[in-house]
Amino acid sequence: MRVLLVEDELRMAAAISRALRAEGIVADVANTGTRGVAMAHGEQYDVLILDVMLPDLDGVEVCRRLRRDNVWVPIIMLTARDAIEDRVRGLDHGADDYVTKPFSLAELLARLRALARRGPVARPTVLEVGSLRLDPATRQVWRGDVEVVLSAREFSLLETFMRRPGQVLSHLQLLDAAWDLGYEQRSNVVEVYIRYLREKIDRPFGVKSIETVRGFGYRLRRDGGA
Amino acid sequence: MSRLPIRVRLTLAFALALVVVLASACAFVFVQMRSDMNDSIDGALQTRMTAALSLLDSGTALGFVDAGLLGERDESLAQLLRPDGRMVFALGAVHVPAVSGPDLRRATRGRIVVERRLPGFDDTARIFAQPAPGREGRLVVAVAESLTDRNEALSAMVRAFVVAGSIAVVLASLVGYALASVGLRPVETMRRRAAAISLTGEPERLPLGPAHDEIRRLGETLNEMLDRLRRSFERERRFVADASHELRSPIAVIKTELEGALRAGGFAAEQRAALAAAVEECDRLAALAEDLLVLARSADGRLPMRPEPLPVGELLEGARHRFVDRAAERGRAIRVEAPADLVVLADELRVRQALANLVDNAIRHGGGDVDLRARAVPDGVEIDVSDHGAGFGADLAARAFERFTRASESRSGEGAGLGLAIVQAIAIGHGGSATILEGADGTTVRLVLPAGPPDEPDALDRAASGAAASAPSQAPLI
Repeated sequence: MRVLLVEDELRMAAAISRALRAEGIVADVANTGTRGVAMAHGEQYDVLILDVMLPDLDGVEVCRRLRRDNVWVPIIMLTARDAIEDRVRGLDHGADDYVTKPFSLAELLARLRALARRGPVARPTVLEVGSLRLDPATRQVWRGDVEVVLSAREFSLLETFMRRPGQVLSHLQLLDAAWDLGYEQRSNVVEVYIRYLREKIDRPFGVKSIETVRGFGYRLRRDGGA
Repeated sequence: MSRLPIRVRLTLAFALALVVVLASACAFVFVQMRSDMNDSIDGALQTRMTAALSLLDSGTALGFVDAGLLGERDESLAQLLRPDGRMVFALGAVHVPAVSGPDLRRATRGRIVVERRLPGFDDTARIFAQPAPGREGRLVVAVAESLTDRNEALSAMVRAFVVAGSIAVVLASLVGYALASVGLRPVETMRRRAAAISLTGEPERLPLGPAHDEIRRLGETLNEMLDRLRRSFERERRFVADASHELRSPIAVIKTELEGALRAGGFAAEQRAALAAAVEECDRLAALAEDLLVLARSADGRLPMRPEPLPVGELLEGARHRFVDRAAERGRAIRVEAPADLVVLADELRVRQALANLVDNAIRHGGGDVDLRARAVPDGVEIDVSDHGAGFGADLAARAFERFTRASESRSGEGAGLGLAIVQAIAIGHGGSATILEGADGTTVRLVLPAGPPDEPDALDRAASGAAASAPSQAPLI
């Protein structure tokens, strides 16, 4: 396994890389965020260990830049115990996991292995289907450059579609994805919400992105309708 | 005296001084006036004496009569006396000798002036007596004049002084009291503000009066002192915050190094045990640094808080779950009682920490089963953590929320004694409170936290299912 450690504190970096090498893991160290971004671009790493408190770019910004540039190396953040804000922002901007300092080495190693197993698959933080964009972290939706305001239920329905573009989703699948268990399966609540959604993301833009597949369910067109 | 308020003391002192001044003025005028009046009475008596003596000289002693020897008043007299006290001749309303005894004997040798009461006179009389010229030792001439006028004038003056003086003293005291009150009012305003002032949070200052007087200078000095105090508090807090913050990294490094070494292996059993113990101490040190940081930041009002609606039942269950094994090891149970729909608006990490500290305390220092109960109260949600042990005792309960307070002074126990201080800091950070209730059958620590918004289902969702129910005949789109 090959790991990039982005950590500005030299003693901490030395301690972690020594421990990693003892486990037979190759560890490169970057002491600044900028250097970390550059190294992650240049080399193929299995996992990136990222300290959130960095002197130049903070860890969240490092995540954001790498994901923007389609670098999908799994990222694990090192954060202070009470820095919940950092963790939330980091995860929303493309980090995959975190451990809090001081961490247990055994736990860090286990998480490293788990992340390495996933590999560098694309895990975009903002979903895009054609001209539709949806940011699950900020709960915003755009059609082209126009922001569309959706209710909570409409949002989770659209998110379900956008995570499976082109797939036909049954009435039951949609109910499972966007409603909790209390809902009667026979109620037509899904149809009602599909109609709301079309009113908001299709009709005003003169497109048709959510198609009805008669007798089975609905589908979001891969081109997003336009 | 020293118990009275300053303005009353000032007024009393002022009044007393005024009384002394007025009394002295009165005494001075009194003495001066009496001496002036005596002079004029003496003048009249002298004239009369001269006339009497000249009549006596010219042998017309018996012609005293009418010769202007009496004053205009009834109460005057002229007498011719022998040394043995017999009256040779008397003019006026008095029929006893005007002088007698030793006075009379002295008068046979020379002029005397006496004031004494005489029968027939309303008041004292002033008497001149002297030997008749040429008949020294044999005849004494005495003239007298009543002092009624003089005494009345003098006592009228004294009365006037007393009346006017009293009024003046009372009026002046009232004015003095009012002035003192106005002058001291800034002190009272400053006192009230000082009582309410807090050294944390927004820097407040004492209000200063408009006048550039001693009180304003006092206020300015006190404000400077407050600033210095605030700065030193601030320094202390920043020091604790910085120190605990700075400690985090080296602790984390030590822990990683120790664990790395342990994993690398190659140690004898004893060395392994020592390293493992060091790792554990690292964790305690890290927890202590975190706790100190929480306390220092909360004292500053800078404790980062992310309040969100949290179901109380889940929080309490979480705390139970975390400690249930440790409690069971000691043969004790943890019970949870919370209404299903109770929600607090709180920072999850902090509230879990506070509950953990309380349950940990109850297990470590308390006795019997531990009860976690929650209920809604008007000012939020009340969470009680109770045990059935011996309790804190009044002495410990009073300082249980202070930092580094331990049940016993020995340091053998675990924990640095920050647990309850943190619970309180967290409660206050949420705008709530933490109190200790000592009951007959154990101790309860009561946490009050703000209530969360009622758990409302998605309004739009209700509308939608309503639409679905009301339009059953709608043609399915599929």
